[in-house]
Amino acid sequence: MMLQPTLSHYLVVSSCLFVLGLFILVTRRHAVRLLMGIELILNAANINLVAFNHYTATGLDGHVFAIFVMILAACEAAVALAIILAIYQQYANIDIDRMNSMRE
Amino acid sequence: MNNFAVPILGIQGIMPELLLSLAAVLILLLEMTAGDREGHGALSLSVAGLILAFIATFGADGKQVFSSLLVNDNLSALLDRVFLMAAFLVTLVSRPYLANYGLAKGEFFVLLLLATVGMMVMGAAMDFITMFLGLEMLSLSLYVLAGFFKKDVLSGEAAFKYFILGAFATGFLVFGMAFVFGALGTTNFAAMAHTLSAGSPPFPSVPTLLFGLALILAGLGFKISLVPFHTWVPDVYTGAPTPVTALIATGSKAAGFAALVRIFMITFPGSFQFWGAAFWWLALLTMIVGNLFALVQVEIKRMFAYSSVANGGYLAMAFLSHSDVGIKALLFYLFAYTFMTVGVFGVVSLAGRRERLLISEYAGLSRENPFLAAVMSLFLLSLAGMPGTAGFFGKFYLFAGAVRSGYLGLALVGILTTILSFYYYLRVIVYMYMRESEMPREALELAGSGRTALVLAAAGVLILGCFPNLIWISIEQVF
Amino acid sequence: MSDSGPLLTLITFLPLLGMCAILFIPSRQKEWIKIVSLIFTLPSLVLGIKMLIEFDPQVGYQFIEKAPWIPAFNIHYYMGVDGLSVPMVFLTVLLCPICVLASWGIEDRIKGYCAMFLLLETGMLGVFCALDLFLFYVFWELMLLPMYFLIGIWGGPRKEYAAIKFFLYTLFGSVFLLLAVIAIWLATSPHSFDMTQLNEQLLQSGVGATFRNLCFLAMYVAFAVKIPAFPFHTWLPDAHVEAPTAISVILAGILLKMGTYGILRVSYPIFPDSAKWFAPVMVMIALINIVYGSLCAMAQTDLKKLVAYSSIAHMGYVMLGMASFTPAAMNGAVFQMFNHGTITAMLFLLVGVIYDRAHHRDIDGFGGLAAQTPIYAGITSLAFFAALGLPGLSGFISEALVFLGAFPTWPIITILSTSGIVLTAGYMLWTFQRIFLGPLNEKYRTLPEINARELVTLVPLAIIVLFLGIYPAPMLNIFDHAVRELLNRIL
Repeated sequence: MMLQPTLSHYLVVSSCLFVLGLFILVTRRHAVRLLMGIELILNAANINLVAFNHYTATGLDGHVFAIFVMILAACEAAVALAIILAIYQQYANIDIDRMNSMRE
Repeated sequence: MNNFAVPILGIQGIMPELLLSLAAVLILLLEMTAGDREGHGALSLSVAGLILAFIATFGADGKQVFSSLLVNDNLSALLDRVFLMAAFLVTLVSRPYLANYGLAKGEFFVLLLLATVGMMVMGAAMDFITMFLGLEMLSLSLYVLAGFFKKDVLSGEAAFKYFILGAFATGFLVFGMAFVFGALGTTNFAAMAHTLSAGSPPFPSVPTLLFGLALILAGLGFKISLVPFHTWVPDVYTGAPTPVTALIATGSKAAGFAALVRIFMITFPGSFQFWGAAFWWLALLTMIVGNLFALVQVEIKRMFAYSSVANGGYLAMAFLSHSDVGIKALLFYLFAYTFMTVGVFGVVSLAGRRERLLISEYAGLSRENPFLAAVMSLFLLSLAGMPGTAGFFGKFYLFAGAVRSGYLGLALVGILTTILSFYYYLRVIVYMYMRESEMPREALELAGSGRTALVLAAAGVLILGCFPNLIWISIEQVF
Repeated sequence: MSDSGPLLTLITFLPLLGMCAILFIPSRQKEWIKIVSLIFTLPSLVLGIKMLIEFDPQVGYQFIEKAPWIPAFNIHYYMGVDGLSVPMVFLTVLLCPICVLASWGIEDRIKGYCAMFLLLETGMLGVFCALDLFLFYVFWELMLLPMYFLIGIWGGPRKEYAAIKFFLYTLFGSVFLLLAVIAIWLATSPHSFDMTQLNEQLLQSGVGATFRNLCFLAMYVAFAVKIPAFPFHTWLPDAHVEAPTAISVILAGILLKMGTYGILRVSYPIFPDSAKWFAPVMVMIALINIVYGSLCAMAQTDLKKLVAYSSIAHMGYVMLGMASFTPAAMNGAVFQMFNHGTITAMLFLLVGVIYDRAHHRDIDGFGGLAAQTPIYAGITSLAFFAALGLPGLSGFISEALVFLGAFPTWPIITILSTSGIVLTAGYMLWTFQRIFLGPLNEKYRTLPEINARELVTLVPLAIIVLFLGIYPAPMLNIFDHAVRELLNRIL
């Protein structure tokens, strides 16, 4: 029997992604991984937006919003990688635990 | 709502934003073609753009433009003026500051203008999509600005920390917005308020809505650094170039509060019973923690970072007087806070021959440059809430609003923490005036535009402190 | 209604204008800065004399100016004077030019000094003229700040400690004042800050006695710090010792009066029944101030500290008079406020004169100066005799009035308080003897005599002290009516 996906299924998936992203942010120390965690959180939101739009709303707000989130996530990634590169040139590594120059 | 058939194009409704963007593009072009090494052209173009945009804010007609994505009402016009003033003063301070480090490049001003556009979009947003767009424009520009000193380790660190926590907060915010959208089926504020007042949410779940609102509050709480979402503040404020810190502390924070006002006080006032308590706790914690930590700092930027956190707590108190009284008090305090905070960070930018001075290194500033010491004292006293300065009436309106709405205890905590704040603000004055510096330093020269900015900020503090009604009249027109 | 234009506004804000003017003079022009600040204190003095002449003692508030300031909170710019404030305003405008003259020797950062001083003058005058409670509070706080700077920057060796102590004590008091102000505002409906109406409005809105007593107490704390009344007095000796001469004069001559003035102007009229309720405590505090202040003064070896403690004792007389609720005692109290202002001002100026020459204030370190500096000794003896209440000098009249008036209400305490007179006479004469009589200390064989500038600062005060000692009626007439009105309210 084919499982008919309902809103709750989508919400469960997105929540898992959200928690996963959160987990990465809290535990990982590698700058690029942190970036991935953020992407996961944003994509969790995207899934929610599209799912809610499909099941509950009438207009296209959710879809439009999701597209905006994707575009801006790409911008964020670009800026983030630039910043990470700049830091790499300073430290020769990108482990955020080493970034504690302010607490000497 | 969502009337795609007849899109009401309203170019005149986004005139200030357009003017600023135009100025930004022109600076980029100038940079490419003429090679504006000293940053004079960039400075003049920014200043011209900011002033024109400021004038353009007086054309507010209360209409919603671009299919109700933005609104051009008195509230957004007033907020625009706060942002523009902050950006204007920061621009004036930046030129001599950057020249001091040999970094007076056009990009800095471009990013500064774009960040301002982002704030203005946030303040005028009537839709989650535009609000998010504005927030990202603001944040992305600020991430880069925070790391503008590429050779400075701390600046890069600040940029990275700001980015990670900022993006994290954005994630929360968008996730929360998705839930609110799920509960009400629209991203437009007016439509949400309409749906709620009609009493028939298509997806009848108050918990979904509240969960979404809680996430939004957390996400914006990061941006405006309410305790416990403030942990990034000291490092970022200390590491970023000081004029950028000034912009983060004023414009960006004001934009965050603007978003909170639009969402919580204008769109969801009916759910106050749910979110009121959250603001109560946030305000309480922020006031106490901000002031206590400011008390023990030895580095001046860190101290002002915590003082800025504390001020966020006073501002958060405004949300408890769930009527226009709160919004008015908030707006007034934003004006006052912008003047005095840009003022202190402006002095910090120009007073040091190097970044990140200790408070004790301000000893003898009154001899090196009496002007800087005098305006610094004025800003500090205004932050402390001395009568005769803008900060006094700002706090007065906020506390009076809280007392009127029955939050006597919170107002008392506000007053007590304010008294506490006298200690650390006065300490700076004590160093500047009553201690001599260990090694005699020669007089400190001030570049023209920096002096202008400080004079303007000081005038703002004094005028608002003596004639609060001047600004209060235009605030009254918001409603 | 008077047709004299915005007289009080001019008196109050002309010094502020002077402050702005000074900011535009280059710091190098030290002489000019002093001259300009002197010039900007004089118009207030002239206008103050004009006010004194035009004032009609039989009418209540006069020279009224009222304009909305912050309509959202029903706050007005409301200025006016009655018999209680006129002497204080006059005292302030009189002492300020004198103090600028007394500050002539200051060289270090003189621009800031003069600017702060003029700001202080505006703040003080504002407190004495304000009839709106909020405006009163704003001026009250405004005054605190320049004082803090003046002590903290231009003070003696322990200036920082003295300044911060002064600041914290006063701030502590101000918070209570603010709380009371806000509480009163919330209790009235429509919300109001109008000091002349608050009593009736509070009665109308029917607040309880507990509320009134609490507000009275909160305000009392604020004012008691300024008086300074026991146990809030410990900032005073430190502040006085460290402050430069002119600032000590202002501190003792005017700032202390603000405490008692505040009680008479704000607390008593708004909460007359609480005033009666609190009187037994106040009279005890007055007794402590008198006896304890005098004993401490006697124990001092530092001349300035001695004068500071004598101020505490003298303010005790004012409080004794205020707590007695008889016309004579109240008149005496107000008169004592004025007299203490002139007499202590003289004392501090005289201490400054000797300190500038000898660079110390140790009472036992002098001796026989009367032979070396006869004019100085003469004026000092006048001031000392005035302070100890010698008949024929103004201090005697006010103290006698206080004791006469207080006796029917508090017989035992009044009798005990008269010990203060004996003690004061004791330490004043003893001090005089140690400094001026006996064999001349060889170190001071070349001590220069008091100079013309210093004489100019002292002579006007000496004339007032003498004149009011012989013929006090003009001054008493000014406030007698206002005092009786106040008493009618209370009794």
